[in-house]
Amino acid sequence: MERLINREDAQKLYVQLYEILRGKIENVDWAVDSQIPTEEDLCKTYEVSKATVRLAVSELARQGYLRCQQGRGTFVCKRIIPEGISMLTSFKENMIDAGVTFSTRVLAQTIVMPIDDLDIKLNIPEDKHVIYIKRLRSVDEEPVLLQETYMPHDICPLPLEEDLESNSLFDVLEKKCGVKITSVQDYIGIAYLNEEEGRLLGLSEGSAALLLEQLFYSGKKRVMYTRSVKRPDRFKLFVELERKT
Amino acid sequence: MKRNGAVKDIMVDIFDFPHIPYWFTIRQAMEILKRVSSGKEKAVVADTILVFDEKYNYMGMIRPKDIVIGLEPAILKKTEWTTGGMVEVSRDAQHVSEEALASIAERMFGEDAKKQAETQVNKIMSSSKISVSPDDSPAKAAYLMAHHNLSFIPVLENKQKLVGMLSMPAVFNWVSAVVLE
Repeated sequence: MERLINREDAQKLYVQLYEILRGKIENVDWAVDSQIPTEEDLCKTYEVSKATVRLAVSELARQGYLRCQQGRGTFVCKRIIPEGISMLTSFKENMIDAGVTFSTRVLAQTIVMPIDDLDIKLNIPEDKHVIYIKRLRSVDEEPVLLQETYMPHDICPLPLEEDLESNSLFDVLEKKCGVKITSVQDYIGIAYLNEEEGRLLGLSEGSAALLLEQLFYSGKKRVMYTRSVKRPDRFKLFVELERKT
Repeated sequence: MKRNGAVKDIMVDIFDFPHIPYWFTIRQAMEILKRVSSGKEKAVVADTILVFDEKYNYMGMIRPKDIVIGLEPAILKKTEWTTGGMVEVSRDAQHVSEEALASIAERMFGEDAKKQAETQVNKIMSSSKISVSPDDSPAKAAYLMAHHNLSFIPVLENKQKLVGMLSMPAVFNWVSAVVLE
């Protein structure tokens, strides 16, 4: 049964239409790269004004679901994963938001000593053991993100033993270790992939990728550092800023 | 002292040793040894590094001796340097002449060793399969360590999970307590 606009609903019309159209893309009723119906057609189908259609379509375009080509029409995009880097948005939450299936493969879950400037990043002595977790994350079987996580072993040893292919590290940290993340610092840049990173992400050595480094705090204490390299064609960063009143 | 003490009573906790994964290089291992031995607190035993695989299974250990040999593999090959390069002269290091040894020593730890420092540690670690379990008698550990010339022996739970390291001084303390009783 085709979902239609419900005028009794308190939800704004364009938001309802946005959700209906997004559902069509996510359920692949509208295939990738196919042209979507014209504005007029959408007005007729959903009995809404052109302004409502335009608002819904432009919101979908802004979020990377659609691309509008001048003079040709509007097309469904290969999905880009919008990434909220605002507080406490973990990869898993993002993925659910975006309605894409993902899988995680743990490549390493072991202990290292801090080398280079890791001791400074985590603000720990040089002889402190650090849990090292390396995960490759895929969407639709396609690897999109390689993430290396470092956390001081003395904060909580559990992440070394937990199954991190089906459990989120945030859940382990917050629910099992009782460590509440209170703030995150993000550093965004470009990384040039080494041979191994390129092979894992299906890109060539030396190609550019999106780099996200994150420092996680629990109060004043640094509890985790992650370095993620992401396929640049599959992610875009999204920041929401709210003015304090 | 009870003769029936167990390994677990006298072993050292593994977190008293630095840990690294096998893909670290000799250079990184050297830097870690340098750092931990200069640390004020000296929380770790500074001259033995434990090497693990990507699933945190114990693989072996690295001591200064392993690094020295790792940087100059020729040491154990009993070769001699000549102006034309390395030639194998003797199977027995005892018989390398003073003169030859001096010429070897002069060339050791040069540019080649710097390149060699980029080797992964799993190529140079001591990966003895010999271990004891936490409930074994220290006498068994003494036997194995003497036989295989070990200064530390890993203590594995269920022959798999590393839970401690037993040192020769700890074994010696146990032996002397028993013998001098």
